[in-house]
Formats: sequence, C-alpha cells, structure tokens
Amino acid sequence: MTSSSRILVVEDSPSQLLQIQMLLETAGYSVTTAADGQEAIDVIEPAKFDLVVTDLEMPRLDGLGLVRAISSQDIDIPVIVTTATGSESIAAESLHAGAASYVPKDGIVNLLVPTIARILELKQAAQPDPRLARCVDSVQVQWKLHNDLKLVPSLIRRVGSILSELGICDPSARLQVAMALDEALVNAMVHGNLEVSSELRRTDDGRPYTQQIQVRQALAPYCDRRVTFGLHADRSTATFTICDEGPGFRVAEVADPTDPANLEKEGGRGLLLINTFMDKVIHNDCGNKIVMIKHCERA
Amino acid sequence: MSNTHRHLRISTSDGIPVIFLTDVKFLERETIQGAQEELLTYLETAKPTRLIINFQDVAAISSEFISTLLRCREYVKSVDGEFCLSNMNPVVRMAFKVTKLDGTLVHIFDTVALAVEALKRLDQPQ
Repeated sequence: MTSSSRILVVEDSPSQLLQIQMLLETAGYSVTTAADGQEAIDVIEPAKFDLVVTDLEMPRLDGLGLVRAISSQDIDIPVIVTTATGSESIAAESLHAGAASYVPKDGIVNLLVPTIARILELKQAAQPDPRLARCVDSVQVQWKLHNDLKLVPSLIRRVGSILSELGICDPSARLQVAMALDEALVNAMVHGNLEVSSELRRTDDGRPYTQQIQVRQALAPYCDRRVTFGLHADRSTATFTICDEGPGFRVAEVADPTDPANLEKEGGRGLLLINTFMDKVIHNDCGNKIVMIKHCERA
Repeated sequence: MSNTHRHLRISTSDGIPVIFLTDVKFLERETIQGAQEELLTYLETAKPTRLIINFQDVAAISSEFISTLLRCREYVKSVDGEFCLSNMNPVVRMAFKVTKLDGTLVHIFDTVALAVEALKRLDQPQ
C-alpha cells in the first residue's frame, strides 16, 4: 500500500483535526475529515478509504460506536482509535469490538504515522490482488477439522472471504450463510463426532455440556473423529458439504422445535435455522452428512 | 452504574435495566459462554423484575445463544419478572421468528423506548 492511501480522520476538536490532517498529508496520505462518528458513517465506503483514524469521545456517535458500526456492517476498513489519558478501558473495548490498533493522543506525533503504515502493510498482505480476484470463476476446497470449536469462526471467516472474492452474496446473505454454517459445523463436531446431547445445556446453566465436550475432545474414539467441510462455489451458487464420523441421527425423529410443547427444549432449533438461511438442505440416510446450497445474488 | 463486563454494558432507562450486548457476532463459543456467565451472574445478584436486552450492535447469533437468552428468561421469570429484547437486525430477528419464539416466549421491540413503554404498562393497575 502506497503512502497515497486514503485516510478518513474522525475528530470533533478542530485543532486536533488540523494537527492530524497536517501530519498525515505531510507523510503523503490523502486525508478526508469528519466531525463525529455519524458523519463518518455517512461517507464511509471501502472503495473510498483505506483506513480510519478516529477519536473516542465525540458527540452523536462516539469512536466506540463507530468501530461497532463498521464491524457490524462488515465494512473491511481498519480503524485506529486515538485515546486520551484515562480512556484506556474504552480503548481496550474498541479493540475488542474490532479496532485494529490505538494510539495515545500524547503520542500522535511520533506514533500515528508508523502505526498507519504498519496496519496498511498488514491489510495489503492479507488481501488478494483485486484484478486477480475478478478473474476467479469457481472455487473448490476441502478442510479436515479436529473437533476444536475455535476453528469454526476462522473457517466461517475464510468462507466469507471466498464468497466475497467471488463477488457473490451481499453482507446480509453472508451473515445468513455464517449462521447456518456455524449451526452445521457445531452440530457435526459436538453432536456428531463427540456425541454430546444438546439437552445437557439445560442442566446447571450448561456446565455439564461444556465439561463433556472438553472431556471427549481428548477421549477416544471421539477425539479421533474428524469433520470434513467442503465448499464448491461459482459466481451464482455455493454448495457446502459437512460430514462427521459419528453414528449420525434420524432427521425425521428430531422434535419439531416450533411445536408449542417444544419451544423451551434445546434440540432442533439449529436445524431450523439452517433450513431457513440456506436455499436447499439435503441429509444423507444415516444423518452424518449435510449438503447445503445457497443461490447467491451478485453482491 | 459501573461496568466491569466484557460482553455487556448495563444501564437503566426509566428505572428499567437495559443490557447492551457489545459483541457483533454471538457465534464463537467463548463469546457465548462469556456473555452467558456475565448475564447470569448479573441476574443472580441484581434479580431484576424488569429487563431489556438491546441487540443494536449484534449482527449474527447461533441457536446456542438463543438458549442462553431463554435461560435468562427463566431467571427473570423465577422472580415473577418480565424480560424483552430490542433493536434486532432483520437476520437476527428472523432466527427468533422461524423458531416461533418471537411473540411467544420472548417479546421483541424495535427500540428500547418501545420496550420500556411495554414493561412500564405492566406496572400500571389494570
């Protein structure tokens, strides 16, 4: 990323804004300014900006709100927050909410430009060449997963990147895919391979459920089983195949979670969400393989 | 009110506790478990009889997090309380609609103000 990268600076203090603007323009960056988070949200688009620098305390929408808004809309622009002394806990909260880094206000002169350069370098390293991305026609990839639930969000993010690179599924459709994949992958690992019942979640605030997962993640035969996740996507359709190595289940025997008698029970809700968010869902006869199809509009 | 939570921010509106969920996605197990622990600890100690959970920043949830919310509902019900949810985006709201929880076990309002109004109406003599 070159130093002509476009930076949106969000700051309500005119003097601070001028200081940051001069600093960044001297470093060769192209700067646009906004007086608060709401004004920033009104102008922000990934095509327009490479990075956002924002103050935390501002009227209308503050810096933390801005970080959350950017994260919730899946806008792929890194955010650096500038923090005054005493607001370190809010800075930590903004990192948790998705900010890329923070710079103390008394270190702006020395730290801001190198921090921006480092974040932009990382962003560039993580992104494919957009000209190449436009040439992708179809993708077929398969993962063999241990029963480690921490892998699920990473895998879903990776799938989201692939769908994004193919230019299919708008952000809302990608969220639906994410929710369906999360249900299916957790089902395969927890209920399929580890054979842990969802009804355990109702006991003792779910502690036995968590404990049994932890025990079986290290106990044969459960720990030796893998989940195979396959993705085949082209520019109109994504097909997800998830297969576990457990005994399977009979889909027809899953209690209808929308039956008033079952509303408070645990089972079946995940399958219902999968069926809602995917266009077509197919189970194999023994119930350890699910194929989910999403027809995607071009984003 | 002081806030030492990582997944929640607790405030009050017209005397009714409002829990703002600070995570964007409730899909990751650690996030769900962390939020559940903070929610249940708050409910056990504060024992609120009225409660609103604000979903304004939440983009996605899992069925496991729906279970967590139903657990919260049980806690509030155990002290004869009422609880409702607010500010959901359409995708999250859809998860509650298709599971037939919206309007049956949980009541969902478009804004915190509407949720406060509904809960306050419960306190008025019939």
